[in-house]
Amino acid sequence: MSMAVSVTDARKTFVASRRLFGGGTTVHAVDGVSFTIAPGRVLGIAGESGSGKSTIANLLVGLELPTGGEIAVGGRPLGRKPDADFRRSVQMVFQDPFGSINPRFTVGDTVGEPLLIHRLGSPAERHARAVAALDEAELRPGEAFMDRYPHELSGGQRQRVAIARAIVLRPRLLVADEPVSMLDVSVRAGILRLLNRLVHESEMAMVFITHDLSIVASVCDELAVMYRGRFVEHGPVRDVLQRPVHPYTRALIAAVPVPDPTVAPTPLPAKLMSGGAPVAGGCRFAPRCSAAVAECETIDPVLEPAGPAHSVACIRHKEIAP
Amino acid sequence: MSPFASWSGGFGAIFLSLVVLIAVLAPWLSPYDPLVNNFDAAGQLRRLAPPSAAHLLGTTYYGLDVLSQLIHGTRIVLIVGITCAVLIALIGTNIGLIAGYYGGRVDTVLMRATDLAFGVPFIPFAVVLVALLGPSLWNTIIAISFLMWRSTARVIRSQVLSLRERGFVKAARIAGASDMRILYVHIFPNVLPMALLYVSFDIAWAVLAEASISFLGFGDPHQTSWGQMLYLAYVSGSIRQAWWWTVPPGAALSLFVIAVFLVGREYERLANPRLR
Amino acid sequence: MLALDDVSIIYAARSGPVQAVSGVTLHLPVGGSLGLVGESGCGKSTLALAALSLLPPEARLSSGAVRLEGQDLATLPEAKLRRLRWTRMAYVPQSAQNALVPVHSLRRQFRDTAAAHGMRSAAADERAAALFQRVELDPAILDRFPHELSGGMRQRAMIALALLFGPSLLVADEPTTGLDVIVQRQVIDLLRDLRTEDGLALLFISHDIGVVAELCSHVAVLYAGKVMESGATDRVFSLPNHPYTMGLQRAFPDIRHPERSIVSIAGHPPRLSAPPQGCPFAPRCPFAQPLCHNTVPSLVAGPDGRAVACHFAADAEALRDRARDPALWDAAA
Repeated sequence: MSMAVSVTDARKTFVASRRLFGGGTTVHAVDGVSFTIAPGRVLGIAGESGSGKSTIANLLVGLELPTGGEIAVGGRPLGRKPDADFRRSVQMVFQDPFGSINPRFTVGDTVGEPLLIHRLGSPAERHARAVAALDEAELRPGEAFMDRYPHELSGGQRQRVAIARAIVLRPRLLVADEPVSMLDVSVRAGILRLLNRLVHESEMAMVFITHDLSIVASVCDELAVMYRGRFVEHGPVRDVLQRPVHPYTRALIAAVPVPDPTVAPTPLPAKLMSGGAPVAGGCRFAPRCSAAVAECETIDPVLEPAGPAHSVACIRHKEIAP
Repeated sequence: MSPFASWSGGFGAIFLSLVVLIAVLAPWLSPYDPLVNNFDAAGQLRRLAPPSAAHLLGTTYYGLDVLSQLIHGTRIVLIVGITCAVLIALIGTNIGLIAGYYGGRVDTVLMRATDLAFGVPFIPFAVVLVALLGPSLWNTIIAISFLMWRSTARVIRSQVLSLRERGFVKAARIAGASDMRILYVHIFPNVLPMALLYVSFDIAWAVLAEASISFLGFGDPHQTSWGQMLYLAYVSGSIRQAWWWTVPPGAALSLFVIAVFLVGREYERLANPRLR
Repeated sequence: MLALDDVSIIYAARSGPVQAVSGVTLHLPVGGSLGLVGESGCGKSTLALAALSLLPPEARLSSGAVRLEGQDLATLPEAKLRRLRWTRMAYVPQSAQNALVPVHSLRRQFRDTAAAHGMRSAAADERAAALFQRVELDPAILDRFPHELSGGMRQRAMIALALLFGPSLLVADEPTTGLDVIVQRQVIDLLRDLRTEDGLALLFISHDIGVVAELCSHVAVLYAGKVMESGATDRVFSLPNHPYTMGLQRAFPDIRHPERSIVSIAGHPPRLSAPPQGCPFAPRCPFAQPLCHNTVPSLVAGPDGRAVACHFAADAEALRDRARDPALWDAAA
């Protein structure tokens, strides 16, 4: 089966010039990440700030260019520079529903803009497609929203406008970067369900970037956990959430507050907090890992199968598996 | 809600409308030709006549009617103010947009040019330029516009720096919008309120600058500007005796500048919800 | 410790007065912990500011009283209030990580704060070192600048600064929002320790019912500036009596149950400049009856120290059953 997206050993380094004189330090924001997503499927990428998940999002949509590896959408590799075809095939939904829509555009202008940029259809056809996209994003009737301005809309409605803009070109890949983290709790489920439905009813694939592991189950098919530029665990979402193998995944899951006061929170290992910087050539999580042994300082683990479609980058995964 | 929340903004707006009206109707409003000498019945030049029924604001050393000069001066004020503001806004806004959006070397070069423009002392520069090109209203306008874009450029650039990180700019980039489209369709309308605010202040500064250049004697000798009136009162040595010659243009200039600032401030209050 | 009696707060907005908080009564005993939860705009941050008598100039206490250890804060002169604010009660504001002065070392900030209340530098240094140990930071960090620290370290430094004069009440407004989940857990654990070991009373504001469930013994659910439901956290969250609490709970994902689908609550909170006639939640409530749209339910105290503002609180058990079905919330949406 042809994949909607395939990423092979993607790398992105930044040179942070911090001193006035002398060279800067090189930051490996993404350090060898590979995955594929089939049409109509969702990959969740979870991690803390600085894990590189946002850089992956920017690479996938062509906002930044990889310093190594290959990214292909619909079988066509992204060349030196994203061309019009690539631009049409990937779209993004952003975290902040207030900043992601031009305050001086009407909803119709915003949703119709990608069509205008790619000179698709007559004005009447563009209008009709924008209305259809709004309908699909559950802003119904779409026609009634076309002439409204963002300040007249709630956060949830703005995020739906952003989603309509993202799907109006019928992209092969949608990248959603923390799309509900700035919305009120009471409207999050609606947006998540909308994204889930849009992907599963179409040929579009989605990458769902989040720091919040508790919401991934309602949108994602697969989950990848990222730590310092690498995937440390990758598998079917419920598998990873209910049978996490990597010590970092376990810590992340244990740290999520449980909305049940009768359940005592799982204590986190002290080493998780106190650990320092990783040693070159070793596992990057080893300094914070309570399961680390001497070998972890010398072997840089790669993803290995740990179950059906489930892989883990930990040399001790067999011993520590639940 | 009245359009002006404060009396000061209303005063500014009324005063400016009055200036525009006077400028348009100047030939019909002014009792005399501002550049034609007046003679009395005996055929003598009416030098420094104090205000009277015939000359409501008296006459100058050269026998010219002060009121007519004052009225025609409003035209110069508007030509200088509006032309300079448009030129400054065009240069400053575009430099700010391009420097802020492209960043990197483009930004460095444009911002060093801006620093340079800040470093040049304005009056000596204008005097030298006008001296080289010859005194005319257009050369004055060019001299003013050539330096005064600097603050607009800086302010617009800083706005663009934050706007270009906003989601809607990224979304347009991802959708494949050209740089031109992002700059002028997405970013420009969002810096427009700030650009307009600076335009209003530029009008005031440009009018003051023209008056300064004229007062120093580098103005257009064929036009009657308020600065020119003050210059002639000074060089003819009558600045101490003929208050009717100096007070009207001085007061008109001050009021004009104050009115522009009041309207600008009011506009800022309306355009920037945080100041409400 | 802290008592809010029938507090109402009105903001003077350009478009007219906005009733941000109406008739809220809350009690926080010595060493207790009270969580205020609700969506944005429900009045929880305004209440926190009122508790510290720090309301912005455009807001005023239109009725009721805020009492700290029996003293009505409204009757105290500003100088006395200022002393109370650091010595008896402390405040960790929203995005406190950014509340530190960027150009001064942490030590300088501790000394400056100390000096403002007549504590000498040597004493401040000693106290700062002890507090840093308390919040599990290396006292050597005192000589660093805020930008050299991570968000979690800044947050803990901010809490340490708030504790400089040993207050007995800490008001924390979304202190973990924007922090990574492991760091958030660290801050929650710290606040819990401060409460249980040092007897600090805690007024905790959050939109995250998970954090409140882990940290607070009591909770008040706010909606449109009113208390919808209050009581012991374990009681309120295991047997919610108010449909809004039920909805919030259903809207909140639980990491232990990935198979459970979460719901949205249809509609938006009411505009506080024009509040609805009846129950503020009625327009969004899947159980609303004509009565709810016409008559405001009053907050009725129950036998187990709980209170609920719902006309149908007596039927809560049946409502809870129906609320478990996601289809109910979907139908409304």
